[in-house]
Amino acid sequence: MKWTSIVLIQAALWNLCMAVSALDIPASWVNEHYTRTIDLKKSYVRETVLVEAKNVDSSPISEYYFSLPDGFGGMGNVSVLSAILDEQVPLEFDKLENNVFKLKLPIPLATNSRVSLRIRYVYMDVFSPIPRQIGMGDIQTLLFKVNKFNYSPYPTDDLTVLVEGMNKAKEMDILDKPDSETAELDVPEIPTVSEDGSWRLGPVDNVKPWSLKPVGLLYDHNKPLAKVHLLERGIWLPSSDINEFQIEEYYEVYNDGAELNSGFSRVEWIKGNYETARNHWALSHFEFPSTSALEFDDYYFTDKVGMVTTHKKIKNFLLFEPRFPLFGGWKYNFTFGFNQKFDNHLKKLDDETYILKVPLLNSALDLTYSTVNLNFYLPENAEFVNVSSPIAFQSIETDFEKSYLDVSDGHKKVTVVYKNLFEDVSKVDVLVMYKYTKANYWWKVFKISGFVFIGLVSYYLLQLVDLSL
Amino acid sequence: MSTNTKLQSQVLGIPIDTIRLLLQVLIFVSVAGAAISSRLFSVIRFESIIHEFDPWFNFRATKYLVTHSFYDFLNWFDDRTWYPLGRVTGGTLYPGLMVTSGVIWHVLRDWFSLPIDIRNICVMLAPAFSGLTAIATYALTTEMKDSNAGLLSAIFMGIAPGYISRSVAGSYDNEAIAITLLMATFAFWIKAQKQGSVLYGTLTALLYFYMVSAWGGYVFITNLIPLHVFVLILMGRYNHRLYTSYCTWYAIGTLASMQIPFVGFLPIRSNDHMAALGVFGLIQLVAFGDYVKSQITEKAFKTFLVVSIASIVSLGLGGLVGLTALGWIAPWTGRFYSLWDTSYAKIHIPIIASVSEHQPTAWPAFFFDTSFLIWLFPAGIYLCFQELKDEHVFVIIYGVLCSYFAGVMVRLMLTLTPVICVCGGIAVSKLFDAYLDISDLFTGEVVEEDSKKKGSKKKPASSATIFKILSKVLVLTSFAYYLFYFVYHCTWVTSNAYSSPSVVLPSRNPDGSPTIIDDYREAYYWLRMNTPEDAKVMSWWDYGYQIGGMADRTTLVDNNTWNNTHIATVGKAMCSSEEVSYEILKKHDVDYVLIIFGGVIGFSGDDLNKFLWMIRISEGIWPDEVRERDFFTDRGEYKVDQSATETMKNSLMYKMSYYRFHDLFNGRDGIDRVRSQTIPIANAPELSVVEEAFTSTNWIVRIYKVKDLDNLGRDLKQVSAGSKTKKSRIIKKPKISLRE
Repeated sequence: MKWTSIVLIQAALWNLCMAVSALDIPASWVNEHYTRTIDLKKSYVRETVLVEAKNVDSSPISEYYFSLPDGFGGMGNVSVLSAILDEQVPLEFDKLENNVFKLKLPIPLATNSRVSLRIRYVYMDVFSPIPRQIGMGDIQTLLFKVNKFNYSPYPTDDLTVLVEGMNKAKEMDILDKPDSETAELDVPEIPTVSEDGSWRLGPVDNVKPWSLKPVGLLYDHNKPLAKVHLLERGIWLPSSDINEFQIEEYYEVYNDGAELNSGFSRVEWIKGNYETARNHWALSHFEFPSTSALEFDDYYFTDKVGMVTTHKKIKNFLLFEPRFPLFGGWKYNFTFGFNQKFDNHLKKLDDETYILKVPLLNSALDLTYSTVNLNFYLPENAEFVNVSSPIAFQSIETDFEKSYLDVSDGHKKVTVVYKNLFEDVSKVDVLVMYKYTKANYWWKVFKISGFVFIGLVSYYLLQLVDLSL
Repeated sequence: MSTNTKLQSQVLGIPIDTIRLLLQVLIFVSVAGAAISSRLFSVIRFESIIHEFDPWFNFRATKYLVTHSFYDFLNWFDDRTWYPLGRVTGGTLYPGLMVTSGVIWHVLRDWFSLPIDIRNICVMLAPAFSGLTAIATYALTTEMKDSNAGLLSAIFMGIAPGYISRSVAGSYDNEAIAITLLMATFAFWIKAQKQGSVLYGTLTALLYFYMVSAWGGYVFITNLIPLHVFVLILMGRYNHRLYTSYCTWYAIGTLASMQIPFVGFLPIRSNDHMAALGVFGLIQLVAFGDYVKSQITEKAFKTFLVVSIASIVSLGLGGLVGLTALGWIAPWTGRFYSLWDTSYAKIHIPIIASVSEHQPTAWPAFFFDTSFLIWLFPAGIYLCFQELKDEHVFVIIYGVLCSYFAGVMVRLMLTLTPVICVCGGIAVSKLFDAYLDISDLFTGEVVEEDSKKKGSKKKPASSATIFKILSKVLVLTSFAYYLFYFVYHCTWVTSNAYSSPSVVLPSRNPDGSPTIIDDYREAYYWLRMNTPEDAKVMSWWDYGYQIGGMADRTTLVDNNTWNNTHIATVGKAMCSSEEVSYEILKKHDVDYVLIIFGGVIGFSGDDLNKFLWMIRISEGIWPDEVRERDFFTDRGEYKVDQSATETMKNSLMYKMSYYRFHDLFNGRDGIDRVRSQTIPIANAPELSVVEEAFTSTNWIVRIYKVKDLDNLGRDLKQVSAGSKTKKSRIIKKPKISLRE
């Protein structure tokens, strides 16, 4: 009895803490204008929030708390978030719990002054196909759950929500419950104007803090929801002065969209001409954009049973078709390798320190990633110094990987782990600094030639042994 | 005189022996280079891939070996094949091949820091060993004649299509290393029996052990060496050297071979091995007799001989028959019978007859596989007869036996090719000895000069010289042409006939550019990626190893064919009606059925063309339920068009092959491009117990999912018939009586 009461008190205290941490935001701002723009064109959601906020506190403030407009656990996995002040100054921020971010203004803002913030973020794994199983010729319909309001910790004078990139959208009531007690469910009606492909909600005045009204949006999205479950992106750096480095990427992909309601019928596939159709919900090809900087020299595609020959270069793309089209729930894996020139990628700081700059991803179009392991294979005996990434990573590890003619420990392998990325991250560069001296290089050459020499000498000595009877 | 010899033995100041050695090494290197590079067509044209069927199992086993310990490998029980029986894989395979590539893999990785992918080692193993085969053939032929003949036969062996057919890159089969070991064992055996050396006898035994660990065809050595000894004894050529070498080889070789789990006690129980044991006993008696002969008078010895021979023969025969009858020694295997009686397999064991490589050889195959060597082969044998030393007897026996075997089974071309190369080498080199020797021309001139001095008989001598030169030039140019043509032919055959992986098929786009048909891997990879890991796949046994290797799924039967009944069960499921098949499928927990269908693109090696074997094999077990006759039309034709029999049209195989085939022709009659028959729309099959799960791009592989039992306990045929007629969904109210 006694124990249970203690447990109960503890639980109550815990709840209180949770509530406090969510509530512990001083009401020092008012959002005068608040615009959410939600883009549903891709297999992930790209959202931009424009806020004009006014300091209503009695003293200058340097923090603005921003909460993702969620409140009911509908936002899946959030990828990258960035905040910009007055269209030019990037802001630093801390991530607090419950998807609340503390944005730090560069200087405290005086009372009654205004700031304009632009916050952009991407989230994924939020779509569910309705119905779950459809025929090959049907059109895939996705359900997207969204909060019609902004779920801001501060009151909002004027709220507008824009949703773009939908076809034949329908609104649905959903039964999802708010996951926080602070949520304000008593919300005003919000006027909705729908034009082709987009929705405009609002403007609505005097929105209370933590306003929440989850609704479902049902719309046609006849493209695959391609998802990379795991990407191992390996970058092999040569030890000599070759002007190229090798990249080998291993993908485990699946289609998160609708499933086939029957077995796969080749006749229907041929008759519907879906192979060449650009708008079909089966994932039948990957398009890797190629530029003058990224030409995919000597590229190859393989999987665990050998080469895959269905690929071609067309204009600015490398088109790769997996062995079979992927319908919802179907999986595939493949390895994609190519060489890349060092131009503008490797910089020598001094005699022994190098800085390598490579894109974090080499993404095909419209892909999202659950886990990305970015592996740098530094030359043998090189010393790893540091990694600099504009996007937060989960962890960093170093290890060794033996490759051809590695006579010491092997290549130094630096693994940087990322979670929840999407295609545009390929525009982001990661910097790696490492040290590799000439002595290290010659030591390896000397060691290999030494072994060859020992081998030949021992062969010679063995020949001298007279075994004849 | 001394300056003269010095001049002869030196060219440009280098001793001629050094030059000879250098040339020999150069020739060896180029022979090995030619042998290896001519086997790389498939890698260059396609990719580094394991070929055909059996190599996929060997590859899978090798992967198992390098990822587990050696003892795990020997004790490997594979529950992913022969479901639900499983297979004691570790105890029923010849581990030599896998261990060889495993050792190479470890050595390269651990000692040379070359972590090469095990697949590439497996692919390149056969070409690498073919280089060694050429060297072993050189050693064997050198024992027969001289090193000139040796070099020639090494070149022949390196590029002869008969051997290349089983050793191109990717054909990772036991034969890949077994032929090398065969030739090396024989070379050492000849050396051993020539010198009576225990060392060479032991080396022969060790190589024999390696051979036993690598290939079931080791029985060939087990019988050939005793036969050689036996014939030599009959020819009265017994001596102590023969005794020493044979006893050394037999004792060590037999004990060593018994260490292979799959062989075990076969060397003393199986009839295949009795000849070796018998000759071992015989040679002891002969040695004893030899000793007795040296001690007693000739007359007494004759009596001794007659009595002992009579008693030994009767004892031996009686023992053999008695032990076989008691079941202590195993009867001869089916493959052995089919060696002697070519129609044996067709009548008694359809499963052996169904394999294309067990068919008798067509005569053009001999020319195709060995080119001009086939007619040099008798010449070589003849030359062996002329000299007829002990070692020549060996070649003669080998040649005669293998000529017969190769005529019986296509695959035994492989064992014939080496002896053809040896004989060809001997014949060509003998010819060159005679015709390339131009010293007599010069001696002829000397004679001419002499006669000039004497001033008599000038004309006849010069005309004889012209004829000599003419005949030499004629013979040499024609043989130069034959040699050239041989190389050309070998390259052409290798490139066109033996370099297709058969997993990937070459094809052409409509615009003429080369492309490949990759349906097998497409479908196998689909299985691997998108079916539950423990899914059971039923297919005809041909594809068992490939499914295990590429799709990594459990199969019911595979190319091991150890259980005829199980294979017949699969055959019955394929050739019976849906109701009968469904029972079999459900009893064996089958989740997917995989068939090969070539009717769309005209691929002739498909399941409908193998269908008769499925029928025959299952008829062997269930003669009452499956009858081959029912699948033939009244006129005795095997048809799939409108004249196809009801049994044919109702069989699961027919239905699965042509399911939705007519949709390709917009609902009109379809045309099967393999069998060139029209499939009328009236024959369009309906499937009720399985549903289409996947069909590859060119329809070569079709995979069907076995339906679950109906949850109302209805017959699946009724269910699908019901759903066909009632398009609109009718919801029935439950009967009141059900609720009471």
